[in-house]
Amino acid sequence: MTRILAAAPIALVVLIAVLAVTEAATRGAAMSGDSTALWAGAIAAADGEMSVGGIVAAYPSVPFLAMTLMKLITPAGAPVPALLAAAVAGLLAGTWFGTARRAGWPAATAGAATLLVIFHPAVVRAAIEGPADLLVVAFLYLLGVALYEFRARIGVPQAMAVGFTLLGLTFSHPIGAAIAVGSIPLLAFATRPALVAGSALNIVLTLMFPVLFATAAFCYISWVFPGDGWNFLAAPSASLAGWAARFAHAFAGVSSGSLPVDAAIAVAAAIVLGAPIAPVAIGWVRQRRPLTAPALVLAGSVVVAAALAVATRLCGSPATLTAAAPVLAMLVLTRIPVVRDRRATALLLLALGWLGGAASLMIVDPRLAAQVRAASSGQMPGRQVASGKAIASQLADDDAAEALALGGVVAGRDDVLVDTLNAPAVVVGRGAARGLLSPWGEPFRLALLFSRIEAHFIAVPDPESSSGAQDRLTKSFPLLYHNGLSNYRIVYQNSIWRLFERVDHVAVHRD
Amino acid sequence: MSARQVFTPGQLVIGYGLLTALLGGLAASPITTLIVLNVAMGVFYLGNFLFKGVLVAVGGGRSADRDYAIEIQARQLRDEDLPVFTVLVPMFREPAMLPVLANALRSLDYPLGKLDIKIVLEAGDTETIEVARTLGLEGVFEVIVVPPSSPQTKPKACNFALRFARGEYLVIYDAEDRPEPDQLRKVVATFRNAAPDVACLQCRLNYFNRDENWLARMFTLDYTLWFDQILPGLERLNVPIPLGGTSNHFKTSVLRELHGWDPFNVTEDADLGIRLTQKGYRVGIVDSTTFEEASCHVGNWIRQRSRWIKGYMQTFLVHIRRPWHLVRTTGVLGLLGFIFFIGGTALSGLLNPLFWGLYLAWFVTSAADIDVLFPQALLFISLFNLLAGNGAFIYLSMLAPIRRGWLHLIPYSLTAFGYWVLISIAAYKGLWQLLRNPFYWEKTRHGVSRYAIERIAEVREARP
Repeated sequence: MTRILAAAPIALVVLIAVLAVTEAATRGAAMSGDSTALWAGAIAAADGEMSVGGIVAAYPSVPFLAMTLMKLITPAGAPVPALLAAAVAGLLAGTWFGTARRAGWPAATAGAATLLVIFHPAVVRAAIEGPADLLVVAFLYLLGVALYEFRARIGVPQAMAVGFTLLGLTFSHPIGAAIAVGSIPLLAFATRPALVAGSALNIVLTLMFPVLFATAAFCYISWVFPGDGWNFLAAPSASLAGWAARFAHAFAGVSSGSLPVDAAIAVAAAIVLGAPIAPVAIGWVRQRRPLTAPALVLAGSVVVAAALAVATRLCGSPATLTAAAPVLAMLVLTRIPVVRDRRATALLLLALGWLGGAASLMIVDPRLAAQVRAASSGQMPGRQVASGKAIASQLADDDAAEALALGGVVAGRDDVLVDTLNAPAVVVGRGAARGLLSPWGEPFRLALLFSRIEAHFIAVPDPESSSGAQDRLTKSFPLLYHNGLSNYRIVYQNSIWRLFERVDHVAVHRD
Repeated sequence: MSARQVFTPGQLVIGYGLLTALLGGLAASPITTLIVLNVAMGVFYLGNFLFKGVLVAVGGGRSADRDYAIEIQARQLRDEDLPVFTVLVPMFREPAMLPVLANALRSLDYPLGKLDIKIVLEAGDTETIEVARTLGLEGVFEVIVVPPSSPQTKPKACNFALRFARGEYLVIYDAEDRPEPDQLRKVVATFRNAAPDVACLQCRLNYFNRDENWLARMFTLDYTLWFDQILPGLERLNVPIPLGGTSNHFKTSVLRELHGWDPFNVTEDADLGIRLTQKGYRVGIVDSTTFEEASCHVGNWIRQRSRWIKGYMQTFLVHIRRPWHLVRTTGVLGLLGFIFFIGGTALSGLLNPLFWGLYLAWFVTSAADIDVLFPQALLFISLFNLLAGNGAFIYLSMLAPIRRGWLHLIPYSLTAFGYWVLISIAAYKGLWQLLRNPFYWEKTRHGVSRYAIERIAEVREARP
């Protein structure tokens, strides 16, 4: 109890700070597209607008279910993704501080080290991207701890901890699944030699079983309910496409010729830059495998995951993996005893890691690099960066920002026909899914099937925009955006969206 | 309370009432009734695997340091400080096992003079009695012949022998048991360190013929999970422990206070474990293993398991007669343990085939009639139970052998389904016997495995 109380202030400070940052990011559409879609889905689920099948097949399940539950128990309009991210960050900070204290660090240096790690640029980036990214940080840390424990003692709880943290990673974020898969060839190295000698394959099977079985079960349930067991694999590939294009453009001169290899090298470099304390501390105890192997296995899994994510195009942007740097930093701080005796060096290396973390994000996150370049070249005035709205208008994708604005306009209006799967930010901007006729519901499907629209409002994007190219309504009613429909009039428009309102009660047919 | 009366009039009335309610429900609103049944079963399965998961996690966290300390103390005990220890070995028609057993008991690291070994034989088992008399056993071996009476069960024989016990402590071994040599010393050391209310210590059981065939391997995984993971979890959470059939060490005075075992219960030790808790005593676990012979032939295995399941049904029916007394004396966790391990073991064996059949019919035919019984939310719960339940039990079986380093057994846990089918067959056999022949002791044949046969041959050759 005393330890919890001692860690509470730092956890609270971090919670408030992260809440402020992520709240601004959520409002300003700086949250990633995948996170926005997840949040929109959680709103729909909490509002009872999503079928049981849709809920059980939603992926990544952990942040989705957490947000759905939080949406149910918090007041309307509460910034749930920000709250969840802040809660995770606060818990992490408290845990890290407490662990550092137990490892023998004095309170002041433990606090300083915790703050340097929790406000590491990679963690801040994860918080802005959305709770799923921050959950990856949390589960990655827990996996590191579990690997150290499993190396120290052969026991069932230790094996369970490794298995369940891998499971948590897999269902927190697609990149977490890549880390779990990436760890398969390496887990044996984090295991006691005596156990590996028995049968390395069987030990790896045991450690990976929760992931393998849960994934198979999840596919099966997805197949039973929505009817396609592989639905969940589709979503993140879009974000990777953007990453790959920007990365290839930014590093055209130094590319190895293979994007997966480039990604792996970039992530490895980001880890070293973002956590210089890790290689240094591992070097100090290089002869003591119980202290080095778990950290190296964790780092190796992350690097392999980067290559896998790019090669398969199924796991989203490898930029998320930069969060491994602060995790490794905290692990070596608390797990390698000699670091405690060299506190000044350790803090200096952590500070260097903070700067290196910022630099590494420029390497691994080309979108951020482009935005920073734009800001530094004067296209983004500094005073605007300070406010959430400015972040919305400058940092986020235009499509998301415009959909968010549309969502604000339709707030309080019911019977709105809109393709929320294509533009989830509309749901986020509106703050509620009830009243939207979305692809999750029958009326939307019937409208498309019979080419007949009876909704009070219709929201469609410009077919020329990237949103418009994928919009189901635009595909079924190609002239709707430009010509409108008889008996409907435009009541709102921005650079992407037009909102039509029905002026009488006559049903409208497609031209 | 004894299993002599299988069902009390009250239980029959309640059972009749429930059956009537079920039939009435099916007649009035069949879909709703079946949905309610499904939900109830779903909750039972979910609770069962969650409870076992918690026990394994808690049991796995048992301090190895404590076991090590006991091991050191056991070694340091001087012979003159050791109490007289009674060893009861009830046997029935196992003449070939007797020399093997005598050798195993002679190898115990305990002064012979302080051992009070009683070979307990039924009067009608003339063959074993004859072998016992001609074997030339030392004076510490005493043959006790149980006069003929009904029911002819192991607990009745043990009760008869209990009156002759001279030891401060008493242990029961089966004929084929091979306890680790320092087991009795560890038990004495543990009793001396334990709280006064610890009246019984259960040692771990496992199999020496674990690699004989698939069934022996699965049985080993089953036992390893139970004795190495779940029982320590029960002990740590202070949940009543259904004692295993052998290697349970008692304070003889407490055993006498409880009037021994229920002679009508065919899992008398499980029943005794509950009774001990109800009387305010606790059961501990000792980190010492007795190796037994796994039933490695399907018929023999089903006979043994059907007796266990029948005994669990008896135990459940006996203690559920006074439910409030059960809750008051064992606590909420105790009640959960009782429901999941005593009632649940039998119930899941009986229910599994019904659910497998329903699932198979739904999967193969996509029958709309079955879909009606499973609205989307319930379908999800049922599928979750099916997948998570099976996955969890396979996973727990996979984890179980890690502690002993028997990693070669891990892949066999993936074939657990076949083992559950055998359990269900045994459950139905046990139920049938409960109704038709409740006190019949389904005898497990020992000395049939390759390992045991070799051992018997070795002992025969070694004898002059």
